[in-house]
Order: sequence, then C-alpha cells, then structure tokens
Amino acid sequence: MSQARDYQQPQLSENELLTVAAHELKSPLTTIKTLAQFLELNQTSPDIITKHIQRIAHTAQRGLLLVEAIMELEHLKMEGQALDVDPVNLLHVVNDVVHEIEPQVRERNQSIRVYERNLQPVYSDQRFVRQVIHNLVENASKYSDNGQPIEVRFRSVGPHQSVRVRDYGIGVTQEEWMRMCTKFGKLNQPLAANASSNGLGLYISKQLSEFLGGQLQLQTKRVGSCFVFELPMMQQQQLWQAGAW
Amino acid sequence: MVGQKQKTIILVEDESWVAEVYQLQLESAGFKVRVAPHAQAAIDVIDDCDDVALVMLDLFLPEHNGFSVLHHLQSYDDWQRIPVVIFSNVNQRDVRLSDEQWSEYGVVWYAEKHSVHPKDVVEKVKAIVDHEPSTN
Repeated sequence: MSQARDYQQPQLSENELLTVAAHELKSPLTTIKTLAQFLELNQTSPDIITKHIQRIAHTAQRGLLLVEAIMELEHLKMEGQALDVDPVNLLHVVNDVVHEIEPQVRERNQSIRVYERNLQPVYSDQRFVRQVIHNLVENASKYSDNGQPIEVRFRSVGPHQSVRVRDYGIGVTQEEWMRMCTKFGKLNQPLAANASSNGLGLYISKQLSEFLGGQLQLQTKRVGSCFVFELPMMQQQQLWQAGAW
Repeated sequence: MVGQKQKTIILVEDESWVAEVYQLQLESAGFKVRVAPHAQAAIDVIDDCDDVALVMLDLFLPEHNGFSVLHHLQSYDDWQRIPVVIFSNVNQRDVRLSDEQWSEYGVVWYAEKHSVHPKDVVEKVKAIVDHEPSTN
C-alpha cells in the first residue's frame, strides 16, 4: 500500500446547530420524495407499490414526531412550562412504540423483545416519555443490521425506574455520545470530528430525560449499545420541581 | 454493457430505503452496486473491490461521517483517482470548502439529495464513469 498523506479537516459553517437540525428534518422528507420518485419511474407490482406506500407513511410519521419533539423542547424552554404529570405505565408506552415502528422492523427481519419484569409505575409526562422511548427504539433499529435483535428491559433501583434499550448494531462510542450531549459539540470544531446522523434525536432524548427529572445514559458494549433512560419514582410535586429549567 | 466487465459503484448511505432505490436504478443502468451503511463498512468494501468506478457518498453517517471515507480514499495513491459524488442532504454552501478543496478530495459532483431525481443522478453517474479511465 502506498504511503498515506495528511489532509486538513474541513470547517462547517458557524450555524452548525441549525445545519444539523435542518438535515435531520430533511432526511425523512428526502426518503419520502425518493420513494415516490421510484414509483413514478418504475412499472411495478401491486405488492411493491403497497410496500413503498407503507414506507412513505411510516417515514412521514417519523418526520412529524421529530418536528413535534423539537417544537416541544423549544416551547418548554422558552415558556418554563410545567409537566403534565400522571401515572405512566411504561410497558404500555413501550408496546405502543414497538407497534409504531413495526413496519420498519418487520421489513428488516429484526426482532424487538420486551422483558416485562422489574417494572414499577412512575409519575411523569407521558408525551415526553413516549418521545424518548420512540427515539431510542427507532435508533436501535436503524443502526442495527437486518435480522438483529433489539431488547427492551426495565429495572428498578432505589427511587429510580429505568427503561433499557439494547441493540447489537454498530454502536455509539462514548466520545460521540459526549459530543451529542453538548448539542453536537462546539461550533468551531470541524465536521469530520463532530456531527453524525445520530445526533439530533438522541440529543432531544437527553434533554427531555433531564426535563422529566431523570437522565439518559449510554452503556457501551463490545457489540452495539445500551441506552438507559432513567426516571425518578417521585411524588408529583417533587417531579415538577425537578423538571423546571 | 454486454461483453464488458461490470463497473462497481460503492453507495455509502445509511437510509436503507433510499439506498435501495438508488441501488435498483443504478443496477438497471448496468452497474454493479455495493451498499455500505456506514463509513467503516464503506472502507471495508472499497478494500475488497477490484474495479471501483465511482463512490457515491453521504456525509452524515452513523459514528463517523463521510469525510473519514474521503480521507481514506485520498490518503493512498491507489485510490485517489476514484471519482466521488457527494450525495447528501447538507447543502454544499453549509460545508465551507472551495471547489478546489472538493477537487482535492476527488469529489467531481456534489448532489444535494433532497433536490435531485434518481433518473438524473443515474445519467450523471454514467457520464462521470464513461469519462474516467479505469481505476484499481
């Protein structure tokens, strides 16, 4: 092999946050457009047409959820809005999410197994709990190969209840996770050292977790990743106080 | 492409449904297409292929972005001649590189994924490959 040469890292524009967010929102729209263009270009069987229409619908839903999450996050930060706290059955939320992403999972021959043990009720804002779990499970599916399993477990430790989403895909490094946690890193860092396509959804999930009085952590594994979404099992008033910006 | 060896296009794209559409369109045009869903897979596939005619490369990929693939291609004399098409939702103006700098990376076309049509992408790829001498 010939000798390697060094190259300069390129600089992304100063508006990196907006750039990455715009990309994340363009991504599902581009997928929808591409699928529609494929149908336009090719005479194909009814089964293929149905499959692509389902893909379009699923991707549209994914885009809408992302827009809603961004808007909710900004709205909460600006208004200092209180949480809408009620008892949340985490198993029901997880099962709803699994049902929602079922088309994507089935197509790729993946499996999602939900282990129902160690589950305690929590008081929280179900909208945001659902958004976080949806991001984690969808991420796990997207960055796993065809045929790979995804596992969802619950654990109660002291005053905390966690939802753990485990995948066996390419994984997220701790370094990349730290960059995502600081809103894609510093503005003056080059693109090559910084952004990836995981960023916005996981960043939103982390922000929402903290707003709920909990946290989102990454456990790196030899293969894949495990995201741990932890919620406090607290009284309603205490949870509201913990969740204020 | 009767009587000619099929030329290989490496498609580096993590959105599997988009990758599938472009793979089908390029294969219909007579290319062999290898899809890589992330940067390391792309590097492995490039190492594995004998006759890479072109690399279509997304910039935003899981874990390591597309520049790691560009660096890999341009770091070794054997691969520098492989033409690269950037295929990304990031607008070109948001990545502060001059045309000359893109050219140093081997990039011959920057396609903003959200604004191109698969038919036009295939035509452009055919024109680029037909224009380039054989690589590897």
